[in-house]
Amino acid sequence: MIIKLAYKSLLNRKTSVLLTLFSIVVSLALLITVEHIRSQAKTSFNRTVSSVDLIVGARTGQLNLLLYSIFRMGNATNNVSWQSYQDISSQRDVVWSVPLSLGDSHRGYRVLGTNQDYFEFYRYGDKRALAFDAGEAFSDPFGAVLGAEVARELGYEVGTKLTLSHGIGQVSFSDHDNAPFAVVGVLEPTGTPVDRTIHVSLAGIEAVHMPPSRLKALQAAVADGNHVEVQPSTITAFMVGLKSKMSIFKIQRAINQYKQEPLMAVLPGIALVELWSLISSVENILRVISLCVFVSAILGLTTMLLASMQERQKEIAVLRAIGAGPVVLFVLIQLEALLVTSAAIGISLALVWGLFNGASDILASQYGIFVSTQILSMTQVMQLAAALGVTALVALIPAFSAYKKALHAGLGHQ
Amino acid sequence: MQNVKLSEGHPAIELDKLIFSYDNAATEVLNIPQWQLQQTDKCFVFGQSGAGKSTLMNLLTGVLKPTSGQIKVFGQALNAMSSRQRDRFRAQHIGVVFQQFNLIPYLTVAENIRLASWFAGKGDSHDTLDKRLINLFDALQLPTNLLQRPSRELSVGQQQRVAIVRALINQPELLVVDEPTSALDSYARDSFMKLLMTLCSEQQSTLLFVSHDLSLQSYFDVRLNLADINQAGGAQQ
Repeated sequence: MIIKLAYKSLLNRKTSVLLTLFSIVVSLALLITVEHIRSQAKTSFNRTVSSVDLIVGARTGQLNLLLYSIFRMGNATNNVSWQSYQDISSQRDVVWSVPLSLGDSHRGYRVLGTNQDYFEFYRYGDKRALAFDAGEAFSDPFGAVLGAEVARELGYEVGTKLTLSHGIGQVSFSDHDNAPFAVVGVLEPTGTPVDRTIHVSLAGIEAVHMPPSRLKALQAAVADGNHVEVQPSTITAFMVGLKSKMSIFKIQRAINQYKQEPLMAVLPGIALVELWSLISSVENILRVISLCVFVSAILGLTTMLLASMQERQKEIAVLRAIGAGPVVLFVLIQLEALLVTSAAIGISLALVWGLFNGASDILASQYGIFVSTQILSMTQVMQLAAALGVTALVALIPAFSAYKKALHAGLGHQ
Repeated sequence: MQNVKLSEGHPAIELDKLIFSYDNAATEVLNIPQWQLQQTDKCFVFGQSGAGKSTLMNLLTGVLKPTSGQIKVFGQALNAMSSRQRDRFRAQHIGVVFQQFNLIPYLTVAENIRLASWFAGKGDSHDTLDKRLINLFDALQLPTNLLQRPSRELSVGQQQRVAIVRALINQPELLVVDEPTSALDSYARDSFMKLLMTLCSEQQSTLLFVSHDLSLQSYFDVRLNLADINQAGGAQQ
């Protein structure tokens, strides 16, 4: 009955209630979004690479190396010579190594030159290996393996022909269109940047940068079914798996002090932590801002309720006359506040859910963040419960005002 | 606290050495050594504004607590009750009608009345309530199609009559009415007074009618000039 009374009383003040509701919805949506992106970004980043002991590239910042080699963001400052790669990967402690060659693209998707070992040794998430949804790994220079999203977005399947472009823009002025590749495999979705990558062989990358006459000869040889060996002169970076974790720092030091070429090796885990700490400071600022917005919205709610107390003096007298005690009026005001916040929670959850449903593709392709539309996490629920708590706390002010009015104002004062 | 049976044979209202002043201020608003009203009496209380009429009303309905002295309503000492008990007592045993603003404007007429019975918490069944409601609407010449209308849409005369239905829905022993006709024109006032009198007789309710409009006193068998029993000096200003 009191809930109904609270509800009707809110309806009676539609305009001011709606405005207040709107401001709380905005602030809560902001709060929910920030929290969701934060938790999603963290899982998304942390699942991108696992089981890789070291990532080796030209000397640069460790974040930069991590970003361009694993997240396919930005560009390498320099390359690694094929000679150094051979040299390091033949060391005793190294179990496997996978070369990475970046710099080309196809319709906005990065092209990664690598070898078959990539599909065998690369791990993501909970040490999961890559799996093929269709086809298999490439065996000749002009085979391409697509990430799940590439295949889905471009509508490609095994057998589709594609050409590479130089550079990484959506539109390129220098196409390698004389060297067509054919899709030989499509990977299952991983929720990592692999989904947005086109994998080809190192030989293929090398081939598209050859002068036309050599390229023609190579294509002819491939068409005849001959085994061709194309030796790249440089690669962008490579991933290394070691025999034992104990040797990681030894090998890292050896690489960092490599005489022939300035190289650096980073531990993906440590680089991820650094990346994360960088992001989390931004995210903390966002959190504080959205919290402030929320508090000001709740203060708006209180102001609205407090201002309404003036015009509700008579209403309070009526309720008192039919036997409502001061406590009832206290509860009524609290209920009104909580009803507004609850409604705001519902609306903002729906809003954010819709937003992420619509924006998850953009987030993935532009920022490499794979968000799920599952918004309600444990932290989220706690946060929303806290929002209700704050509402109840701040609504104490108008609720006490109603309580006092009920206690002191008599029936006859009209 | 369930439906309290009010003891028979007591006066409806007994005041004994009643003193009231706001917030322990030195000036007394009310000082009534002794006063009684018998059950089923219809009493007309008048006095100038500032004579303490509304204070008396607030004391009798248990909204305010006397500074000292005793108020008994049907033998129950209001001054000995907690504020929660007084609220409950008012909901169950006292009907109140104000000068004007009696209904919550954004609730329908039916909701206003049901709210009163909810606060009384007498546990009357829906059927009983509906029957009582129809009877009261009938007696007050109100069409039942008003029930689902928001009360702000009613005319003042209708609102005042609905206020009486609301006040009587819990079959209170005491009806306290404060200038209910001041917003009505003279024709509406006469029919309102007649209906009120008939209903109180039928329901055997005791009526305390507070007003400064002396032309109404002919309806009543007991008349009380508050100044006659109130010895508080400050109130005479």
